[in-house]
Amino acid sequence: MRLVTVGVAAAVPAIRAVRWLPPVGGLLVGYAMVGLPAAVSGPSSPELLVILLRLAAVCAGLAVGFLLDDPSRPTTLTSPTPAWLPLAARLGAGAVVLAAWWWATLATALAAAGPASVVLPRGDLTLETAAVVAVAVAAGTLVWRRSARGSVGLVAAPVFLAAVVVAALLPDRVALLAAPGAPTWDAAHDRWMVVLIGAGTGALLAATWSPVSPRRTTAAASG
Amino acid sequence: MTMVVDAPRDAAPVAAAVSRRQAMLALARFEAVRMARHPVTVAALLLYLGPWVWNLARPGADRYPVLHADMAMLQMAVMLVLGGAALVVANLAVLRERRHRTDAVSDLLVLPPTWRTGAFLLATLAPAALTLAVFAGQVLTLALLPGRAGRVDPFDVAIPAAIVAVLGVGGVLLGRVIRSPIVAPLVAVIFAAVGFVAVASVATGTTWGRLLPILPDDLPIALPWALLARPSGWHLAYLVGLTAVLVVVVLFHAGLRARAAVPALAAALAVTVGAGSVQLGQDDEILAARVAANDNPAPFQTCETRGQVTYCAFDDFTAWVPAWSRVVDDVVRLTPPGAVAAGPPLAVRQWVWSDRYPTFGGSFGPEWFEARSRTQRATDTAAGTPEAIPVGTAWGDEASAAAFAGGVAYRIVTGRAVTSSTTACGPRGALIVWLTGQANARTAAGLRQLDNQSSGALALVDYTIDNSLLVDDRAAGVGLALLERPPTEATALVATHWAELTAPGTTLEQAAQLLGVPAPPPADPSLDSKRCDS
Repeated sequence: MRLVTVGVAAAVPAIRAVRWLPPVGGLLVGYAMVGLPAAVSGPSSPELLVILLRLAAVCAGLAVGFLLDDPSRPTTLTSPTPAWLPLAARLGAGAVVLAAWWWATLATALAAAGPASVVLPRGDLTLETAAVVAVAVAAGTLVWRRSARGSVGLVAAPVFLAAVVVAALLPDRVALLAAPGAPTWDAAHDRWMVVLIGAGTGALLAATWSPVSPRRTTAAASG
Repeated sequence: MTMVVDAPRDAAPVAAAVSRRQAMLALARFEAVRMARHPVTVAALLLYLGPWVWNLARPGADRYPVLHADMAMLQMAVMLVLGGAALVVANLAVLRERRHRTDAVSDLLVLPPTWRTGAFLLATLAPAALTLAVFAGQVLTLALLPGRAGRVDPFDVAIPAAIVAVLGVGGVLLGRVIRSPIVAPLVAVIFAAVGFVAVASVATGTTWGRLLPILPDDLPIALPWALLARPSGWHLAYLVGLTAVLVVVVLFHAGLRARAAVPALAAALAVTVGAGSVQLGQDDEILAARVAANDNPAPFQTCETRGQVTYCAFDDFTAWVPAWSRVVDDVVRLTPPGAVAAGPPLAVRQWVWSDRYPTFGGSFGPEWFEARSRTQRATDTAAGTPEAIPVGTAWGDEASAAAFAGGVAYRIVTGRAVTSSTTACGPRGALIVWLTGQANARTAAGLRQLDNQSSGALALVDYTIDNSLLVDDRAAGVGLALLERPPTEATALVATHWAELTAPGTTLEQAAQLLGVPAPPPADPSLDSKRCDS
């Protein structure tokens, strides 16, 4: 019961302290990437739509880094809750917004594809976006660990973009970016799953792992 | 308590201007060094150059670049990687004061905001100069390769640096207008999206993609220099004008007086709009030349004779003749003496699909194939090289080597050239596949690659020309089985039975028996409707 009280007490201000404008702006730009060509030029080819959906996912990844920006960090570092709790609260709130955004973006893309939308596998595209966001969360969390002043997106964004360029340059044998309908699509999505799990684990470790165990600190303090 | 301090009366305004200029230059130098060695710049350079160096240096690399086409293709990577990095780095530099909450302190300094912003704008020359050096190095490396084709357009050497300058100045502008560091990376992603949409749309004949910093080529294949419609000079002028517009806007925002800003902006806009609209036009003369070259490339070509073979290539592609000649020699060496003497003297002619290229795929009716065949034969006969083996404007990769070797083999085995869509069946088809796979290591690798991509029939296709050689699957199977046998044995067998194997009456089963390979599976009658040209 106490744990819940502490959790709520830490989470609510953490969510209220989020500066929503940069991440929401990023998501809007991402949506426009799919929505604008659809509105202007009508049905697009599935290949182009997949590229645009992936670039929209990159915008979402950039947004995640800025979601973790917390200028009040120097004052909240000393609060008696685990450090990961406000982080988890921010990410949880962000996940809700992201899910709604992705649903709208994917629906727009499918509408833009028209009858060709049958070749766009929703599940696999969602997996790609989830993996991209997980990589952004992992990069953001790593930066968050090391930034005492709480500016995460600033450093996480270029790191994340570099990771995206590396992913685009991967040779065919281990490529992540398959064209829809290509024979390599399924193998590429097995790799996306690996990326998702790896990045998720990395983010979890980066958020919670501490090189010194609490007990030893207590012992050292009392000793 | 506030105190107003007057400047000392004896300080001459000229001296103040000089010291401001010196301070601005000092700041610009400092920022330029920081931008050049920023981790993002370094990472971008590595990401940009690494794959390019690897593709050129790895074993079996493509050493036959078409200079003007390769330079145009690199622009997208320059814009996304180097340009994106310049945008982010310049933006971060401008936002640094705000990030460290020292902007109030800077306002107390002797250098007014206009001059300070000018220093940031000057500093963006550092990434641009770095890009110019890197790109010039790339072009020089490619131009020094003995197998390079095409020409170097000096404007195209400068365009990448101008792309980076536009994006760097854009980063300064964004930093002044919107004080959030998310904007620059987002704009970099927007450029990627617009770039992909533009490249996808140039193929439909629209030219609005040229309004981007990059100048995309209008066909996805390499064209000879004479058929190129690249308004690179106008595009460079457009980029310079665009940079000037952004610079004036930034300085005006930072406090430049309207008396100076308005005329400068008007001049910059005039250059941008003028050059930007001129470059959008289509060059009708070039389009007509493309139609003409598509039917008859001979007037654009130079011919030379090596050994017994005449090679006709577009004027800027003659460096590829030695490489073609090696493949021809490798195929001829596998045939018995006298086999080549059957038809007219061997000749090779370069073609390019410069008119109505099917960028999004497309299907053509039998009449179209007939017409193309007639045109090709008429051109070759009129130019004095009847039944010339066609070759395209792609070279250096394994697939195009195999496609060309297949064309050479078809010409030797049947005495005719591959035209439009040609299908080879029976023992001749098997022989063509074996000659292609046996000629040399590159054609063998290319044959494997094309075999993996093909379904229904083995397609020895070069996508830069509008004709293709298909080998029926049963015949290809016999040829591939023969490739499994030791080369000396197979060569001796082929030489012994050459006459039977190339005779029109021999069946594939008889050929398999002669060559000592397993007989092919019986023909599937449902697939038998395919016409065979040999």
